[in-house]
Amino acid sequence: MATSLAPSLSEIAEGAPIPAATLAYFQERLRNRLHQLVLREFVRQEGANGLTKAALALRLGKRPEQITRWLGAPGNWTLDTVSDLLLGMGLEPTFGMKNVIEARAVSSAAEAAPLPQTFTQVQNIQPMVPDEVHVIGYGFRPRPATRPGAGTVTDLLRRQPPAPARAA
Amino acid sequence: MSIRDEINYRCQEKRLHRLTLGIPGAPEPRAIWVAPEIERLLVGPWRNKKQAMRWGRIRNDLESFIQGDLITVPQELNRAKSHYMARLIRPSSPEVWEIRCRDPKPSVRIFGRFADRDAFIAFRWWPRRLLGGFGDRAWRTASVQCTTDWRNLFPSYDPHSSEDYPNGYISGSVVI
Repeated sequence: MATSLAPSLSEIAEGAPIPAATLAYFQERLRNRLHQLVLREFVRQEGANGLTKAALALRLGKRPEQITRWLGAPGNWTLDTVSDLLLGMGLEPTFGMKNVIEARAVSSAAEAAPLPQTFTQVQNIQPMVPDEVHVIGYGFRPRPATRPGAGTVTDLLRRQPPAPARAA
Repeated sequence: MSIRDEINYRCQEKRLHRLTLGIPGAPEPRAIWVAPEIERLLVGPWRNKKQAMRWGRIRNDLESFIQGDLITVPQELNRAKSHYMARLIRPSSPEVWEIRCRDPKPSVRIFGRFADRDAFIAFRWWPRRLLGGFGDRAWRTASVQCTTDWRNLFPSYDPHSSEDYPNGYISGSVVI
């Protein structure tokens, strides 16, 4: 016997008060997704660039144990924690939203649809996501080293006009 | 007959319940089955708003496990005071794991055993405050309850065991 973990979304669809359990479910969902976002990036940079918790701690002015606690579980995270950890890895988040009712309906329809059996059926597959559903996941983009048009501090110093020579 | 067949029989008898993701169609690289008591608390009705919110959060923590999120586990098994998501509570217990749902208070621990790699069976839950310090009597009680429940449901099978900790139990686990 299977039990779906997602709460009923009927209250959201009807504009009724949302039950406490549903609110808590989505609060935890956001927290877990942000944690996964940061943790996956840390693991990636650990493998690719040799990033360590100690190095990240040094960048953020924290102790390595604090970084271990943050990466271990998202329990005591704040928005500032997310910002700090991502910035410590040279990143900042990008954002998007989706309608939960429509997203679930689209997923249900996709699951109910029979798998294509022939090559012609594969060619005839239409996108399951209707145009009006705006689906963007969480992501992040590398934080640019400098703003467009601006230079590094060294560049800016170089651009300073030379001081006028004093008359002897 | 494999242990998966046994699990399916236990589900038909309603002695276990398979948890599935709320958004159908998403991959489920891991699986969790829960005892009826845990299933009742996951689905409700609940005694009060506090209990509803606590178990609403646990629902998503378990969903995170099922959908293949990275699961953090401790490097040293006796490091109880740290932040991670799951732990084999060896050496005090034979193949008994805890899934930690720490925040917000009251913190809850879900105890169970792996039937196979990425196939977790949750038998019991305990509020953290009742467990006391790690290694106290309540921890042993929770462990004994799990082993007893296992024997009752799967008398002819041993729980999954692996020398490759933690990847032999949970694929995509991260040692913290």
